[in-house]
Amino acid sequence: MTSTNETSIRIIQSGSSQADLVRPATPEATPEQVTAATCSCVVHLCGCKS
Amino acid sequence: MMRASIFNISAPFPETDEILLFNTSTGALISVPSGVGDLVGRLTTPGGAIGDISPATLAELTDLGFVLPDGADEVGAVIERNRLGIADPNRLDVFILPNMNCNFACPYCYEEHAPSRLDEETERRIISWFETNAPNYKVVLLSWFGGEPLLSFETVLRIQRRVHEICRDAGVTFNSHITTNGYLLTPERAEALCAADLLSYQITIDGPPDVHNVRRVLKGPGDSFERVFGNLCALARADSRANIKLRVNFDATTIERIPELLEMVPKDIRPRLHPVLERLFDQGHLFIGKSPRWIAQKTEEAYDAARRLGFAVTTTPLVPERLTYCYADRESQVLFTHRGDVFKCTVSEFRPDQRLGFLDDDGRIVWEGTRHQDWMDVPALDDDCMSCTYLPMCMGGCRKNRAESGHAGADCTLPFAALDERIRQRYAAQLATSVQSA
Repeated sequence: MTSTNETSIRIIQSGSSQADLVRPATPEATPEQVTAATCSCVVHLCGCKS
Repeated sequence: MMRASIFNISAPFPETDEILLFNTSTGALISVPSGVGDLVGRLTTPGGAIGDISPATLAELTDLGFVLPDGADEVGAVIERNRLGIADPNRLDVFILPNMNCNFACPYCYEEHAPSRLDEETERRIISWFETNAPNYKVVLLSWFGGEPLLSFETVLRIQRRVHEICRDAGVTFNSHITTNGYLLTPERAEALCAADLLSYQITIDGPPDVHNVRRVLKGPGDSFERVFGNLCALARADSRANIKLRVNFDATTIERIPELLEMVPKDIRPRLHPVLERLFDQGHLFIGKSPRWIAQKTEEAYDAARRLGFAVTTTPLVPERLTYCYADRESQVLFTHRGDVFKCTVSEFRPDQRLGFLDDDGRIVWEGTRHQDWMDVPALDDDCMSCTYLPMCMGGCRKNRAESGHAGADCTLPFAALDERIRQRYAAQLATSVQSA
């Protein structure tokens, strides 16, 4: 957890960039990255990845 | 000129006199003192002007995605994610339905069951199709569905082993999943399937025995709970690689009984089970008088109970890493029925006259006219999506609903009705970790 000294914003999670988010679907993705983004749920309303 | 992202959500956190801010597009989560509530108000007014704010704070909020330069196309970025997800060249998703029969007669099931089997000729065509197509991908995900797939255990095992071999020989990563009622998943069968790298399981138990046995009804005499529960426990102890989802379908009368079921599970296997709690599919009338917020809060309470009891509950769901709403959105996904017919969505009657295509003698897919293209041409997003705060975490809702009715469904935001509660839980967990490590 980090803090800034201006208006006391506390960063709990910094989030992801567009490049990080789309990486599993790009030609550069490794099999491990593709697998990590793969969910086998049949119904995807549980907040999981599709 | 800067403006607020349309994807900002706030959640008060009175325990520490703070307000939490979450951006559904970047997944950034911050807290600010409640004394700057006016700033939070401006940040959660979609597209609103930011007003007076120090340059350092503005820069930080911009880095995190809460604030954007006027003209920045944040919705366009999400649309691009969705486009890339639909066209994903890396992953081949294949569902096989080896029969459309079932040994259960669950009153809520949408399928019509009849004796049926995947014959040797269809098996040969499916294998041939895999031999041609699997080497073109980095990852193959083979999912077994039905009917009840384990009524065709020998067929499942044979195809599973062969596709595993094809992928291994081609240097393709192989993942496999089965959705089963668990009744026929004896320890011996579980061992054979795990040995063939079928390592992801979804088994449904709808509550404690008195609930489960009237929801998950055997076609023959007797109850199903004891045997399914025993098989589930045996599977969890049989192979540490097995990823097991404990699916619980609930309605308004059973959701509060879920903790009773969870407490029945032996403590040693709880960490191996991932609870997946789902509202009964297409049974909205059972929730009459209950708001989406009520359903969402009750669901979160049940997940909380699971977490406290030691189950493997996902604790960091606040990540917008979904590129499509559903597997059926993706171009490189197909479903083969026991007849060798090709569909996309698993929710179907699978009538031959509705098929999108079929496997020919050479194991090639022949599409029926423009049906496949028509499915892919259904817009993944509609006008309402373009201004929806949840879009980056949802990716547009059900394509089948859109194809049939032109929209994703009136309650498409239900999965996010308690998002603020999940945000608070995420922060509370972070605070608890900080206290423990201090």
